Formats: sequence, structure tokens, C-alpha cells
Amino acid sequence: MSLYRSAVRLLPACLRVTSRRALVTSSARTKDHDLHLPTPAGPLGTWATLKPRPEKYVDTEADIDPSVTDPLRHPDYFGVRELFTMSDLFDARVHLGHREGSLNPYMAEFLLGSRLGHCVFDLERTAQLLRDALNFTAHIAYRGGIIMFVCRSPQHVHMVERTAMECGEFSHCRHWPPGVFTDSTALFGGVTRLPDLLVLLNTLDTVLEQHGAVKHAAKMLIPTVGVVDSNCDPRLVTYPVPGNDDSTTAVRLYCKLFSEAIRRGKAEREKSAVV
Amino acid sequence: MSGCIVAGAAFRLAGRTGRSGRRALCWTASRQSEVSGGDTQTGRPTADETTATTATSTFAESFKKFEGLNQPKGDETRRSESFMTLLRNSPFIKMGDPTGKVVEGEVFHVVGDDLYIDFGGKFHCVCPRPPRRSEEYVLGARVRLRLHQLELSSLFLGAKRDLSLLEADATLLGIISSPYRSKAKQTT
Repeated sequence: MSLYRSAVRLLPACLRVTSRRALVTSSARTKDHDLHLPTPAGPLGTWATLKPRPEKYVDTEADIDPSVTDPLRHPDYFGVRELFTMSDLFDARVHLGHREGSLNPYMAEFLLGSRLGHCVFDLERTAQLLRDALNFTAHIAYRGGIIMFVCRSPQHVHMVERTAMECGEFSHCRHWPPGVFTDSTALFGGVTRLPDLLVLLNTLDTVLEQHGAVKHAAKMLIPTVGVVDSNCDPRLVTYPVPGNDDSTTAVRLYCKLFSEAIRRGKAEREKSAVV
Repeated sequence: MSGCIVAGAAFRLAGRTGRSGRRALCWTASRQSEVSGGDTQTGRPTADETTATTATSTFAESFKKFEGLNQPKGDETRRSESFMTLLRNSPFIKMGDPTGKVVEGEVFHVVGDDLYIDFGGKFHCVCPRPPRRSEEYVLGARVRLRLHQLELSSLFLGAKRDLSLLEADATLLGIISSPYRSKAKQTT
């Protein structure tokens, strides 16, 4: 909470919330205007934070110790820190969020603030979380795990399916039937190996509903990497990456980064011929 | 409310458009400061070190110092910029209130008479093809738009959250350049 207050104070003139008239004013809206912070919409109507994650971030400043050979002990075994820069994220419009009116309370901690009603993500935080997500993806690929891409934005479905095909992994970008994970034996007519990682480029199915895969993966203890926009709920996603999931430039960047991380993991696997 | 043209080919992000004109002036000024005194922010040598080197520098060293002066600012400097700097200098912030602003966009998809135009915001906008010069509005055409909203989202009666159409709202003003025109010029 204090982090947000100081972040907003950094650019007070430009990140001030202007009072915005809705078609119907709800009582939850009028609470935080004097704090100049975007008011999260929804039943809570107040700020909420996720529990802090216990593990450390992929440290960009850490010096690589050449004696560390165990991939799991290495701070950045696959070099994901060099896959992107802040400018790449910025040019891909990753920092642009939806309007305050659709802000999920649990996404508020990932925002820098809002600009005339439009949420802006804190890309420093996004970059940290994206590096973690890429590192995890690369490690899963290194261990021979099955990775499945999920995307429900119609304009990006083809791009995501092609990305998955090119890096030799799987995708499911169509309607999600209820029992895909939880009742897979009955649905597929036999014991099915489920994915070891789900990469969600959209955690929402429609604008109003969360994608079923998020909940079902959590039920089956399948880790998820998800791009969460300002109207998404990040609570069930294992490695949330707060950022824009609507712009084509952003989705193209995510596809490029995740496919590169997977490629690096697989290349390392072939090189070392590990179990 | 009069629309105003946002500087530097407006709202198209990507600093490439910003490199000309105003940017060049800033670059020259900062370059001179680097050469002369030392810029503490980028970890350049301190004043003591520079005076020591200038005292014993030969023509070769001086030449080397000024070698890259005429070369355009490379991507390395841009890469080291922090998010705050990039945001502060972005058209998104400089534009202010998007209502009424004139921006430049590119037609990236056409469905019948509907043109899907990307102007550098989070969402694209969809505009109908105008009856005048309609043959020029093809894929890849650069057009001028007047923005109304960056995102069409509003709260409806009984809803807890805004409903978004995942589109921006803009009016098509006219063509800037079109592949149709350049093709016609080539054939004639």
C-alpha cells in the first residue's frame, strides 16, 4: 500500500484520478477519490493485496558463479534476463491497462497508477515477474514437461497456436469443456497425461468470466503462468505476469519470449541429456 | 473543442518517430555534456579523471572522443532508460485527455466496409470506409483519426464492474498515405 502511495506521488500531476461520471454511480466508487488512487471496482471496492511470494526473484544483478552447475541452484540458468529489455516491454504496450471501472482489487498492487482513468502497470514489477515466469517455463521445458498455451482472444488465437506448434508444444485456444482436466479419463476415453505447465495469454474467457483452465489447473496442481490484465483475478495463477493482454504487439512479444524460453530449455536438455 | 495534432506523428508509440527533430536537439546537448564534463548518471568518468586524461591526451584520443558525434543515438541508450523515463516521454502521457486529439493510424485489417485501425493505443478502432476516395482505404493505408475514447467501456445498470467492448472510439478524418496511391503512381 505504501509503495503505491509513493509511486503515485512521484508523478502527481499526471497520475491523478479524475472523477469520472458513470452511467450509474455506485456507493463503492466514491470512497478513494481523495487518495488519488484508482478505485478497484467490484464487491470489495477497496485495495487488496496478494500474499507476498516467498521465493526470490530472478536477480538481474547477481553475478553468475561459474562453479554453480546445478540448474536449480543457478539464479538464471537459461539467461532469461537477456531475452527482453524495458524498452521492448514499453514498445509492445505492455504497460497499458483497462479503465479503472473494471479494475480488479487484487490487480491494484501491480499498477503504477492511473492516467485519466486508464490504468498503467508498473513495468519494473512486471519485468521481475516476467523473468520469473520465463525462468520457470524454461525449467519445465528442460525437464521434459508438457506445456500448453491457452488464449481466448479471437484475433490472437492463430498466432498462439502457431507459436505452440513451432516450439513443439501444445495449445488449446477454443472453448474449454468443463471436464478437460478434472474428468480427463472419461472425456478422452483413457488415462491421460495432463500438461505440466499452462501458459495463459488471456486469463479471461469472455470479458466477464474467468477462464475455466485457471481453476481446473489449480485443482489438479498444475502450475500456471498467466498474463493478467487489470480486469483479471491473479489469485489462482502461480506465476502472474501483470500486463496488457489485449494489444497484438504485447501478445506477439509474449509468444516470442515464451517460445524462446522453451527453446532454450529444450536445447539445454538435449545438450546435457538429463533424465 | 478544437482537435490538436500531437507532436511527432502523434500517438504511434515506438521512439523511432521521436528521433527526428526535437529529439536530435536533446541528443546533441547531452552528447556535449558527456564529452566535456562527465555525466554522473550514466557512470561516466568523474571530473578528476577527465582532467587527468585531457592533460595527457593526444590527437588520436581526441579524435576518438569525437568520432561518434555524427552518428545517430544508438539503441543501447534507449535500452538503459527506466520505465518512468519512457512513460514520462511517451505520447500517451503527453497527449493528456484523448478526447478530440488527432492521431495517425494504420489499417491492419479490413472486413467488407469496416476498417480496423491501429493508432498505437491499447485497443484498435473500427471505422466504416468513407464514400469519398474509398478505393484508397486498403490494408496498410495510413489514416488520420480524431480520438473520442481510448477504450469503450462503461458501467451499466445493476453491474458491479464496467463492461468493455475491447475497442477504441475514433472518427476517420482522411488518408495520409495509401499503398493504392503509390501503386497507381508506379503503373502510370
